[in-house]
This record gives sequence, structure tokens and C-alpha cells, in this order.
Amino acid sequence: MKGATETPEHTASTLVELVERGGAAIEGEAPSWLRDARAMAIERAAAIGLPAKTDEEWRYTDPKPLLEGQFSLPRPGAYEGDDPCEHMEIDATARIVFVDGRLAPEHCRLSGLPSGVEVSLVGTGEEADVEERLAPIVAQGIGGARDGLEALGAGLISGGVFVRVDAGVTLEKPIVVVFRAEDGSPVLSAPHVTLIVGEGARASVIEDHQGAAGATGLTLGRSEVRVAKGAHAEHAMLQRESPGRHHVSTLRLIQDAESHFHSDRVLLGGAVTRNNIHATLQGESCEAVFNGLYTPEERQHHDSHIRVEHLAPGCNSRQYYRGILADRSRAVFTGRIYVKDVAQQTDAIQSNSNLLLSRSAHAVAKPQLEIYADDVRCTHGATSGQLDADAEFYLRARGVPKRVARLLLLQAFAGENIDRIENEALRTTVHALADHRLGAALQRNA
Amino acid sequence: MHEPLLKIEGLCAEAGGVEILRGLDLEVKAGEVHSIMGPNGSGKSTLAKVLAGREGYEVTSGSVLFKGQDLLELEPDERAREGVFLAFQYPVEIPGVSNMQFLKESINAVRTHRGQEPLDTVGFLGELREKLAVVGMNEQLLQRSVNEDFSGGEKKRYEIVQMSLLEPSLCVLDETDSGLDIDALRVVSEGINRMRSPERAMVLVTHYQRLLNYVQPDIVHVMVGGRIAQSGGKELALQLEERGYADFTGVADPAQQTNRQEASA
Ligand SMILES: Nc1ncnc2c1ncn2[C@@H]1O[C@H](COP(=O)(O)OP(=O)(O)OP(=O)(O)O)[C@@H](O)[C@H]1O
Ligand SMILES: [Mg+2]
Repeated sequence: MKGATETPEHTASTLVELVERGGAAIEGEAPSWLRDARAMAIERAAAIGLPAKTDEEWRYTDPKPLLEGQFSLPRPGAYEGDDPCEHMEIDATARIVFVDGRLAPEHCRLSGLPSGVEVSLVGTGEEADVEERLAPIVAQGIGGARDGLEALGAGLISGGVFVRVDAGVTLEKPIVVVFRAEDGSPVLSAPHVTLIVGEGARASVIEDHQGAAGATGLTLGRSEVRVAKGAHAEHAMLQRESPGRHHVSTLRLIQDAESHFHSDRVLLGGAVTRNNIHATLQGESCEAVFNGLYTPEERQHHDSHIRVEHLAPGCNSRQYYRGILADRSRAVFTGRIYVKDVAQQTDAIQSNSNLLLSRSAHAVAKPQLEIYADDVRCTHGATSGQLDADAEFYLRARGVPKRVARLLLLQAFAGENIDRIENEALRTTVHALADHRLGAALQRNA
Repeated sequence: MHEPLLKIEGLCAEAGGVEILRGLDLEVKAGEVHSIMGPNGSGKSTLAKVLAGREGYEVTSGSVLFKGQDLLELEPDERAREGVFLAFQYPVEIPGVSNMQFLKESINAVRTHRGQEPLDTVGFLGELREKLAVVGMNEQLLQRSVNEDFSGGEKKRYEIVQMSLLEPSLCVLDETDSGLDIDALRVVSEGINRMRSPERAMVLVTHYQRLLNYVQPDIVHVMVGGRIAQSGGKELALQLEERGYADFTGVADPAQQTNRQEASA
């Protein structure tokens, strides 16, 4: 795997250089629609500009390491090594695995899909006719991007999946997509996941972003979710990348009337992580839940940036984000609720709480309400503090050792959001990962 | 002569820059039940917290020996495992930590410290059911979070459940009788009486004679201004009930004052 080939597209460059070189910079064996999408993304990024620390939206997260780090694009061809991934004990409809941005065909399971369900691979050079369904979504994503980095994430597409569930079809078990960073050289991968849920249909996708301990580079991910009238969709993302790798991913959600959506996003790994959600509730009486947990430690930086737009009457949205910060870590939560004038009877709640395990950790919470309708209920709350000393004392006064007492309290705090995770196997996995992490963090932050 | 179980000498302690305990002496022998009464703010809960090791209460001088060892050296959880139990005046609600988890961690920490085998779930439930029954508590509480949404009376009963599970050698009960209805007071008192034994000592902080009708103390202390102002037998409690703390604080309740003047006239 080491010692990248010398073809121009695999030599390292920064995102700034990539954008400067323009759309022609990326070549390779990709099908023409994908080459067009990449060129379009780069052009759009050049036009609207890459983010800068002076931008209001990037005030608490310096984009410099994302923009000025040297990254190389994934090598061409499939991944043919052993399966290096950590797998959950999960009963899945299908499993797709990418390693270092390359499809790992031998480790995928795609057979036996129920009828009315399409799962197509994207950006692997093997896709059949997904182009006509996907290209417009990609173009829309690039066109609607609010900064150059988001545009790149929407269109670079090193690989991914396109899932479509026909009207009325219920997909009982989730589709699991694993993106694994294995290579020690700084690979830039741009995983792209689309979930289209037809009228009255039901489906869920779980993305698992993971990495070997020494992996570096950057994930520039994009998840496009469309929920048609009366449909139920779930999308989960587990970000357990290596601490040396940056991670930027954007969930773009559009919901039609009477649909339900549930998002779980768990940020554990990564160096600089930017978790974007841009949700548009465009039909009446939708429900959307955005559940999130982040546990940065050491020098990790976890930034969640959520925008929920209520464009139609009678929709509910919930943002529940919690963080536990150890060591010298940083976390940012920016949650905007936008309510258009016609969106009467909007019911929107946003809550963000942070627990700080060390004096050197910092959390920033920025709730933002932008409301143009008058008959709405919008609440937001943000708290930040240490473990409850009275609770800790009570437990210790019953003989429970300090470390166990503190761990119980941390588990209780994180547990509120972990228990909200829809998929049971993912929930169990996150419980175990969090327990392990928090236990270790407590030892360092005594 | 037996070494006292608890021996406090010249204890001074402060919190938030305020001196609260001002030279307190107290000796409690195994098998004894002591009662501490005293006006609001005299430092009773502070004494209880200092014994349990609450952070933020700083001992500035004096000593506390428990079973002959320096109690103040120990961490709060070590004290609990050594056999000091504090029933809280205000038990703490801990959302997200189930009673089941809490009690299991607690009893097994204490058992392990005593060289006993940790209890498995079956053994634990067996023990617990028995203790719950004594104070008439429902097992369904176990599914809930620690003290969360418990009524005032349930919180107090639950303290007794924990005490009987952990079998401590020194029980300090801080106003466990406050907020109990008449029946609950009897039930809780019974729970306390069952725990009386020659190896165990109890310190009951209370404002009311009523509890002492059920749990008869060997010695009653009056605490005023952060020290013990007087000690006596159980008749002292009756006397306090009748005359208030005026004799000790110098500030008389006018109603009581008149009564007394009439009495002496
Ligand atoms: N952490 C603290 N910081 C500052 N002052 C405190 C603190 N804890 C207690 N005090 C003060 O010390 C005094 C004694 O309080 P304590 O709770 O021990 O009284 P008490 O005898 O238990 O009263 P009560 O009968 O009302 O329960 C009070 O004046 C109280 O305000
Ligand atoms: Mg008190």
C-alpha cells in the first residue's frame, strides 16, 4: 500500500492547490458524469471560496489544517487485501466496504436484496446506470453548498453507495457502509452516500467511518437523504476515525410532508472534525430528530454545525447534542433553527449539554433562532459544566470507588443520547466504545 | 475498657470561609444510640458531612478516630467501605444511574472490602427484596434512577434500605424522620431498631422527640454554635421539647419565656 505511484493525480497536494488548478486537475478512469461532477465541485469551490477562519461559520474551527494539509487522492482500482475493518454485530440488509477510498468487493455483501430496493455502488467504475438518478442530486448538492469545502464534499466522490427504496416498501434491516482508512499516507477520500426513501417507505443506513491507528489524511463525506411523503428514514453515522485523520461530513436532508427522519451522529475519533447537517423540512407535518454525541479528548476538535429549516406548517424538529470533553479538547455546537413565515405551528427544540472533565477543555455553544412565523414553539438550551459533585459524593458515600462513581455519572450523561440511537446493534457498539473511552479519559483527567 | 467506636476531639471545621464546627467533642461506643438535637444552623449536618468526608468542608483542627484509626485521612468511599454510613438529610437524585446499578456497585464494593464474595444478581435481589420489605418499598423502584422522582418519604426510606444492605458499624442519620408521615415514621423507626446491635453505633440527628419514642437513645446531646452544649439521658430530649433551646442560645422564644415565668411564679 505504501509508496504511492507517481501518476499526477496521486501526488499529494492541498485542497487550496486542487481548487487553484481547476476542474481539469482530476483525471483518471472515472465515468464521464463523475468527472463532470468533480470538475463542477472544484469550479464551485473556486467560485464561492474555501472557508477561512474569518468566516462567521468557521469562527471556532480553524479550517487551515483541512485546506493546507497535503493529501493524495485514492489509488485507482479495487482494494484486494484482507478485511481490516472492525465490524459491529449487526444484522444488515447489505454491507459495503471501502478501504482508503477504494471499494473492497470481496468484503461486501450485496446479494438477496428485497424487491423494490436498489443498492448501487458509486464511483467504482463498475456502476451501471445510477448516473441518471444520482447526477441531479450531486449537482443540487454542489449548487447548494455554502462554502467551497462543502462543494468539494458534495462532488469529489471517491466512492460510495446509492440506495433507493420504492414507495410502500419496508426495509427492516439497515444498510451498512464502512469507510475504513488504513493507509499511513494522507489519503483524501470523499465517500458519498445517498438514501432515497419513496412514499410511505421505510429504510435506514448506517455509515461507519473508521481507521487504523496510524491513518492520516482527510475524509470529505457527503450523505444525501430524501424522504418522500409519509416515509420513515433513519441515518446514522459513527465517526471513529484515527486521531491523526481529519473528518468533514455533511448530511443533506430534504423531507416531504408527513415524513419521519431520525439522525444519529457519534463523533469519537478524528483530529479536526466538522459535522454539518443541513435539513430542509419542506412538506407539512414532518418530524425530524437529530441526536448526537461527541467525546473529544487529547487535542481533538469536534465541531457540529446544524441548520434545520422549517419551510412548511406543523413540523417538529429536535436537536439533542451532548458532549464529554477531556484533556485539551475543543467542541463547538452551532445549531440554527430557521422558521419561514408560512411555517406556522412549528415545534422545534434544540438542546446542547457539555461535560468538561478537564480545565483545559473548552466547549462553545451557539444556538441561533431565525423565526419569521408568529405561531411557533422554539426552545433552545445549552449547558456546560463539570460532573455533579453532590451526585459523586452520594455514590462514594455508599462505598463506590471514585473512578467508578465518576464513570457511572458519565455513562448516565452520555447514555441519554446513546439510548436514543435507533439501531440496537449500533447502540450496543457505541455504549461499549464510549465506556472504554470515558474510562480511559477519567484516568487521565482525575 | 473498650475503645470507643468514634472519638471526636476538639473538632473545628469550616465551609465557604465560614467557621461552623467550633471545638466539638463526642464519644460513641459500639452498641450505643446517640441523639443530636439543636437549633437550625447549629452545625449538625456539617458534622455529618465532615464524618462522611464531603469535599468543601475543611477540618481546621481536632481529630476524629474511628475504630482507632484516623478517619479524616480516608477518602469518602473508603470511609463507607470501612463501615461509616451517612443517611442524607437531602438524598441526591441521580438521573440516568439506575438504583439497580447503584446498589450493586455499592454492596459489592463494601463486600469485596470485607473479604466477602461479591453477590451475583440472584443473591443481590434476594437480599434487597428482604430489606425493601422491611420499610414497605416497592421493587419497581429499582428500574428507576437513583432517588429520581421519589417522594420525600420514599427518599428517607430508601436511605434505610441502603443502610441495612451495607451493614455499617457507624450509622449517622441526618433528620431521617423529617418529612415522614406518622405510619412511615413507625416503619422507618422499626428499620432503625432492627439495625441496633452490640457491634453497631448510631447517631440520630433529629428535631423531634417523636422519633426518640420509637428509637430510644442512650445519650442525648444538644448542639449549639458548632459544639456540644450539653449531654444527658433521654429525659433531656423531653426537656428540650418542652422548653426549646433558649437555655442554650440565650435567645428565648417569647411564648416559652412567659410560660416559664408563670411556672416559676
Ligand atoms: N458549604 C457551606 N458554605 C457556607 N456555609 C455553610 C455551608 N454548609 C453549611 N453552612 C452554614 O453552616 C451552618 C450550619 O449548617 P448545617 O447544615 O450544618 O446546620 P444544621 O444544624 O444541620 O441545620 P438544620 O437543623 O437546619 O438542618 C449554617 O449557617 C449554614 O448556612
Ligand atoms: Mg441539617
